[in-house]
Amino acid sequence: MKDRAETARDRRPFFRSRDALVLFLVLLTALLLFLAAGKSPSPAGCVAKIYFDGKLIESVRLSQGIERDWLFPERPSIVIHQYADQTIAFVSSDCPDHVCVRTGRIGQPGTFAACVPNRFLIVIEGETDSSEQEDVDLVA
Amino acid sequence: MGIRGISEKKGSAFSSAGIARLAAAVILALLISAFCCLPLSCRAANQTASPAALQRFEAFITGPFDTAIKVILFTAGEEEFNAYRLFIEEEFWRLHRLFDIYHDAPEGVNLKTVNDHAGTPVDCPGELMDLIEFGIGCGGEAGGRVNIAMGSVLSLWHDAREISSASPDRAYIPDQKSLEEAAGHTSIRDVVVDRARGTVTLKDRMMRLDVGAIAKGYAVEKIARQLARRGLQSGAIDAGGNVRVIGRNEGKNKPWRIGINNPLDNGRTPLVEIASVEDRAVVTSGNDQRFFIFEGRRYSHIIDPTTLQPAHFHDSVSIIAEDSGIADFLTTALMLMTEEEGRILLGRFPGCEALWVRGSSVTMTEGFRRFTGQAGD
Repeated sequence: MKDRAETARDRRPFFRSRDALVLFLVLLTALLLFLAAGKSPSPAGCVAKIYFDGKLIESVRLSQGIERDWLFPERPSIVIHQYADQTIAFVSSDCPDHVCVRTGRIGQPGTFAACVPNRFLIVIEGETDSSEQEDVDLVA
Repeated sequence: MGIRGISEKKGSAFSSAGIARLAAAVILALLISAFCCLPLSCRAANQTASPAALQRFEAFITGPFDTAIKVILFTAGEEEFNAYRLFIEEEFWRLHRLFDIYHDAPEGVNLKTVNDHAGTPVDCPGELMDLIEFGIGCGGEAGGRVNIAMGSVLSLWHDAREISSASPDRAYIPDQKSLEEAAGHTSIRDVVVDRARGTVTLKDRMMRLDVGAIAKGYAVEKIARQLARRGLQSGAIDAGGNVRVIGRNEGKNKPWRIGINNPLDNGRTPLVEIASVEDRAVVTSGNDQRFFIFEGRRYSHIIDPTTLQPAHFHDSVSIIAEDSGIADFLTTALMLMTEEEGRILLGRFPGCEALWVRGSSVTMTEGFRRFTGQAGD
């Protein structure tokens, strides 16, 4: 009996369809783990850092659906508006050329807008390593 | 039969032979996984090896050339970065003061001095003579479409833009008669650079120089070259649409990706293209930021020397070139001519490539298209 059973076992192919399935699943898991490890975390949200005269005076989390104005005692003429679509922009300034307002909305990590005469600067940063999230390094 | 079959399968899976096969399959799979991932892991390690040696730092410099300048540098550490940043900041401010036409420079002679003393020779620093000669050369190449001696005309438009932007109810445009009178004092032949004596003379007393079309790009190029000479391997300077990169992006181990601004951005499509470049300048001039509105019409800050009126051919022009000063000049020149004329002018500047935006139309030279990674037509 034992000999027959061993013979029958010996006749079975060493690698059967179930084994191939296990092999496939393990390979798939390894591949997914590898891809997950290599991919940067998707940006959960960005922060607009607002500087006056080189000093950070406000950090605005750009959350979906939140819309409001930001005013600053340092420069009462400056109005920065946070939009519901996770962008932010200068909307009012007493500067001569209004380049700041015309820069429009920004929201991507790495982008920035400035009101040079009023020494105001908005920089968008990702929640994690900003440079890794940036699709572009700079904009011309 | 079906139930037996399941039973049989269960039996085979958990029999000693089944466990052996399963273990073999798992070990084999792990070995294959490890083997497959090995080259990729090595590549990833190589990618991070460089940033481990060179760290990414960035800073903003607000003020010089009336713009916010973003600097990204890969250096061995914060101390080295701070030394570079200080150098860049001081250089931008120094060149800003040297090329300033509105304020006197504490260092001494600057461009305002030359304008203030029109009619008489002015002892000039060599760097100022370099810029003026560069500007004269640009004007010659562009058939006079870019003219640094047009300050008297540009000042009329500058005043109109500032007043109209600050107080829309007082908006106005300069009258054509005043513009034509001012244009009588814009002959580039009246700008005399005497290298032997170290002087610049504006022979026309009413002439005023204005280097706004070239100065920022020229300064960026000058600073970028000094950084490269000092050993910087990887960095980028963005001076308000005037981008110059050194080497490649060490952090990503690939060329720098420079977005081309959409001058008609409605908040949804901020970029019209993305160019991948190394050791290049990418510069854009457009009508989207520096303009004013009068009677419902938009007036650009770029003025055509032939009509004395604002540019109207394109919404923006972007140039990729090795030299940021050349790129800055070409964006202005090409804004002031048709695309066909622009392509002819580009033919005299090997290696310079252009992209034009007019409304929803985006066109570019084949060379520019290659920088975007798209196949040629």
